[in-house]
Amino acid sequence: MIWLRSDAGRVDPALAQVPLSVTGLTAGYGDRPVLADLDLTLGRGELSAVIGPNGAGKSTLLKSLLGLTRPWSGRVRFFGLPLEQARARISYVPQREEVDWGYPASAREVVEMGRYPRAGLWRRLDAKDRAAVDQALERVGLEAQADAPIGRLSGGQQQRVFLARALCSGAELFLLDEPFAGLDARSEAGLHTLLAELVAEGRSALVVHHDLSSVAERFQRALLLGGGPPRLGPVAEVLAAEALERAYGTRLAP
Amino acid sequence: MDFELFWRALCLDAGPNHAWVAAALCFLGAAAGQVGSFALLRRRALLVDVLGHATLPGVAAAFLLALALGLEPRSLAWLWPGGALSAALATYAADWLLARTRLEPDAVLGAVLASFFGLGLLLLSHIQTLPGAASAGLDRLLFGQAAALQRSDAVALLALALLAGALASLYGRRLRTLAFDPGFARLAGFRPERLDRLLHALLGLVALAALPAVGAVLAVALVVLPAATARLWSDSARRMTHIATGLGAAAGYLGAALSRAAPELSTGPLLVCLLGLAFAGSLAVAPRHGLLWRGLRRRAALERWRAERALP
Repeated sequence: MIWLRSDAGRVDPALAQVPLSVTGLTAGYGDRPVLADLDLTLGRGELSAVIGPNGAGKSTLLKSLLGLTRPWSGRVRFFGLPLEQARARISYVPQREEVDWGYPASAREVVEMGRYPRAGLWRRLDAKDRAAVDQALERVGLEAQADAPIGRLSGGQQQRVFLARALCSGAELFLLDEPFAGLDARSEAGLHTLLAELVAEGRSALVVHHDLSSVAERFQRALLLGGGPPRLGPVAEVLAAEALERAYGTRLAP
Repeated sequence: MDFELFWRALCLDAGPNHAWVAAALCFLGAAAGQVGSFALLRRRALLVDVLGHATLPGVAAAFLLALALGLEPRSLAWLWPGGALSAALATYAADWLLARTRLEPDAVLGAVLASFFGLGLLLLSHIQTLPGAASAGLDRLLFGQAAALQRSDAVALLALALLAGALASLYGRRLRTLAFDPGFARLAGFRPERLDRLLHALLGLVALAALPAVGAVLAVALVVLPAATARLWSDSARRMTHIATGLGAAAGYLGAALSRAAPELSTGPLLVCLLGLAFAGSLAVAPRHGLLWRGLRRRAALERWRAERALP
């Protein structure tokens, strides 16, 4: 049976260039399925949203991608590889509630965390790491706030710090959980512009998004969960009235 | 208290035994401060209180077993494994209760701490009724008496503290990352469950090492107070760890000298008073988080604000 196991880790050459490919993903809690037979492909340079009502499986999807819950069946591949072998190429931007904002760290120290996986257990951060951290802070426009405590920054700035951390880790695929939640209109627009720029440079991002009203202007493609079979497609198609009605179970303002 | 002896103890000129005890307590304090800073950041500080109290029934049972087998009952070679076993049992009991009942963690930890400590006290009171000198000095395990440590025990304590310190240094970055952002830590491949188990094990090591020196009851002070004081002085988790480590080391060293000069006092309460004073002083005068400076800053800011408003 050894050949079977070694086969599991082999790169699928057709998928090596595809940041995220999900086939037949079925997952749930206890004996209650939340996602069934989900297929999803995210290409290089794509910025896509995951939308849907509460309980439609947005966080279950993210958890399955991150290896937090074990899917009942199906396959998740990053750049053609299972998660374990692709960690260095993925970064995660957490939901606001998941982070301890009383934690004592400056913006720079949070960004430095992006270099920890490379440094392993023994190595100290060196000049190259520090240069990458400075560069990332500059890229997101926070060089002036680098030494401010993370808890004192505004919501938009905190999200920029997380993006800088993802950047300096060298990740090519960003998974973001509600990055725009709780931001005022200006910070939201600024953050979106930055994210779009980073993606235009050849990265990819999958964004769990709550606000239906802004999906159309922020994303080209979206995955609508809930109701009918889940499908990733152009925003206009996904936001069509009947699809929304199926997912949300009620008529929504256009 | 003998001040001349205290001074000589501070200069490590109070006998070779004291030098070992001082080194042991110094490194115990350092390890406790270091591990304590991680525990505080991860919000698990009270766990060491549970572990410390939970060592007691195991220690007492090991004592009785060794006595029955005709071995020297007060040797750490039996007491430590006994304590480790009952602390591990307490951890499993708490995990089981948390998984199987709807009780909140504070209720579970309180119940486990009280049950284990009660059982420990029961066994200790039984030991004290035993005839002969066998039971003498076992009450030290409750509050500690550093000056009475044998040299071999001091060396063993030193080794345990060094082990905890080395592991904590190796995994410090990961433990801190986990405390701030568990989701990121997991995706980075840091394995949160294992790191939490490591943190529990480190707290257990510190509680065990503290047992003969500062006692089961007050081991928590050695872990929590240096880290809490360090938090007042720093807004960087890394620096907080460094300050807590240094503070713990200084307190341990000073505590050993005090215990040498006043051996009738229990070391645990002594150290708690020392560290408590450091914490209270820091709360008053620490630059950013101290009450004094914060009050002054507030008043100045308010005056500026009023002056700006008063302008036409």
